[in-house]
Amino acid sequence: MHNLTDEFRAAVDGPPPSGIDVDRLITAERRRTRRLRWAGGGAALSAAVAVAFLVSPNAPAPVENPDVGALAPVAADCPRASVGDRDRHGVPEYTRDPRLTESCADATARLTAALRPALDTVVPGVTAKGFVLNEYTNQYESSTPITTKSGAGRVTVMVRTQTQPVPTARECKDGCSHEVRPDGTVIEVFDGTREQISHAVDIYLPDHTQISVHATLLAEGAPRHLPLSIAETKALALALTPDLTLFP
Amino acid sequence: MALDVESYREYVTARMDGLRRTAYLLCGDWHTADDLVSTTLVKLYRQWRRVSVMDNRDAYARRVLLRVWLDERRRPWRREHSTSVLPDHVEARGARIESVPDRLAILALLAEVPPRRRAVLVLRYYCDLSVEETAAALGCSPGTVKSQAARALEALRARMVGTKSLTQEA
Repeated sequence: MHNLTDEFRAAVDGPPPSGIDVDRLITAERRRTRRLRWAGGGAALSAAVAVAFLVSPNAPAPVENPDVGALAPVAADCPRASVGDRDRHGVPEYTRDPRLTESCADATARLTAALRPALDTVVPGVTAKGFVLNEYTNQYESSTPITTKSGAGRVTVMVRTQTQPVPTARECKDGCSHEVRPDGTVIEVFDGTREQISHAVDIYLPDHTQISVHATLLAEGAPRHLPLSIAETKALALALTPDLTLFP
Repeated sequence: MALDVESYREYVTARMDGLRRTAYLLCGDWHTADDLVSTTLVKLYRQWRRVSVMDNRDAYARRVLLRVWLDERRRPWRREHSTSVLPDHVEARGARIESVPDRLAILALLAEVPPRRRAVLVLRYYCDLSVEETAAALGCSPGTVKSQAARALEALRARMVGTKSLTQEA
């Protein structure tokens, strides 16, 4: 077998110069390791920042993504709105709480407690219905029927996280008034040009809560405005109720 | 614990030539051998903290080289060979060996042996490893090494008929 060994040794005798540069190999490997570390560190940092942002109690919800502002799944004890067939779109689009750190049950109770005295002030003797979660629009809403001798109507208060950029004055046309208050609150009031809506008020709070108050006419032929004077100023007052926010 | 680059550089400088020759016997091409050794050295560098404290670093380096080569053999482009000239006729294997220089004849023979058997031959008869060491390097049993070596030698003998005898012992 020594012959085979000799043959092997003869075959590899006098090899050409090596093209391998150990220093270059080491440098390339160090560069690769450094890149991997940077990539890994960057990914970890991004994840940490994202998590910190999402769990921060003061973090405002981004305004672009409609599903943002939702971490905890909606608890089973959350009161939910009964949505008519016409308003259903397949499955609920939003299956999580509209806000970050407060459970749905706590939020609805707190908002209801804030709304009731305010509505009682605007329309004496009327007790506001409790807030419920509308999973199709991802908002808390309270819809209170009001009946008088001259007609029937409904006052609906909706509280949601802002999901769209705050409208500008330029976009407010045809029966719309636009106001920006010194504290940054944007108020838009629509008159009764919309069908079956006497007044609509949209409030955009600086903390990214959006509050809408609609006074609707339910009965065909009913007076255009509710006799209990859910007038513009009162609807506005209702919408500006303190503590009617998702970020107290 | 910091990576001891100097000891790595020292080890690689001392062993690179042997690794290149082993790789050349395995693949039959110096450029490919350099590629195989480069890959092996990079893998060694990554594991140097662990390798530097090993008793038998050479065995580890050889094992890495074998793995790199066997992995390389499995790549699809290694199954194809391009040529600029189409052969007019199929050459008889025995006749071809006579036409190439002696030092390339063994490589031509080796090239016709399946990769693992070729590895057995190189480790046993070039690196002078025992059956047990060869088995450890290839990750198989000593019995497998023996049978692979026997079949590889038998194949070599069959192809060397009429040229010269490589084996003087059984």
